Amino acid sequence: MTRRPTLSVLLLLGAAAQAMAAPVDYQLTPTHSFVHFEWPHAGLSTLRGRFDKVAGRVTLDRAARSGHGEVQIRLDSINTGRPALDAALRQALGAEGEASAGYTIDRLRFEGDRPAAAQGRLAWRERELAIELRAERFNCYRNPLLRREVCGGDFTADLEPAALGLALDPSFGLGRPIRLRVQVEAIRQEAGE
Amino acid sequence: MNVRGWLLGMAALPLAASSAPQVFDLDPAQTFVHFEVLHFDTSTLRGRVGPVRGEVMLDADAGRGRLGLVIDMRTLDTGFRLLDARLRQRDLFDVDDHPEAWFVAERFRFEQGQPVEVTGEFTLRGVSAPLTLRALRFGCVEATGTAPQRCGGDFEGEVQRSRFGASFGLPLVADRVRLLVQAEGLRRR
Repeated sequence: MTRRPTLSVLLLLGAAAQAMAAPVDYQLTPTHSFVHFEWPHAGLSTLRGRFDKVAGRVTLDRAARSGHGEVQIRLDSINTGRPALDAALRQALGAEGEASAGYTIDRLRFEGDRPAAAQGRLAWRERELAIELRAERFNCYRNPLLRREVCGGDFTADLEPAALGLALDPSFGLGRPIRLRVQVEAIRQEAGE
Repeated sequence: MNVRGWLLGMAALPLAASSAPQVFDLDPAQTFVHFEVLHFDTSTLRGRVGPVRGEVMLDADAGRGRLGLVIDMRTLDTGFRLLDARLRQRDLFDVDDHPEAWFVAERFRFEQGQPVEVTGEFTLRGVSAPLTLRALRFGCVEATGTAPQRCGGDFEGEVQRSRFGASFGLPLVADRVRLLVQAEGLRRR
């Protein structure tokens, strides 16, 4: 004889599933969140630079294998170590005042229990560009100094300079594509933070 | 080794009859060292040092070369000032006591006329250890008009930071540090 599950068992199961599937908010830490980029120079070598000021929040639901987020990248924080190039890049990006580019993560694509890619849209000034950032690694750990869970990883994407509207003086000798290398770590936020 | 004296001496290298050594001055706008280290097994912390000064002699026909680089550690830049300040401290780069790092190399391996590997002595924090840099790509752009020939590429190497006494944060911040060197030189006429 088959026993039907009682109502109380169903409620318990439902509560357990909800607890496991609770979405958790994480806030990007400025010490370990940077958008680096690699840009071919003169057909010879790779010029590297980065955006220094990156902030944002990501919501992760590892049990439900889903997530979304919002990241702001200060355009004037672009930094290649070459002042003349930085000035030209700020101008090409329209980096005025505290203008930021916003990367909206619409979806995290999971493989197993880890995010394998972030699918989102980068928006700045009047432009918008769909960008999928592939995870090269992803991990969560308990940070002993913060005494909190931290999740993060390395993400990468190849972009065409033209798609970013980066028409620079050819004397800079910069080619294509631009490879983004994003380092991100984000601290778990308790409810209400 | 006195690097500056050694560099000055390189200009006086005799020209062998059978081959033509070419001397390049590194282009400070295109010569930087980037480093990568894994943080808590989770994400890659990156930093930049440079521009790097120095010069390189290549003699592909004879299969030999020499280079001397001076790296100003005060230019260390991760993009976050507090982190830079921490990295400059004594238990990491110890920049006040050792403001310069050097790479001096005399063992070059060529394939089809191009350098593919360079082995020499890397000095950081006053500690010297062997370092091999592998070329990921290398090429030259020929001279045009007033612009001299430009040769350069990307090189990668690896060091254990504990070997140089930069031990803070081990093992949560990895010992293995990957070096990514962008280098371009302008041929001296």
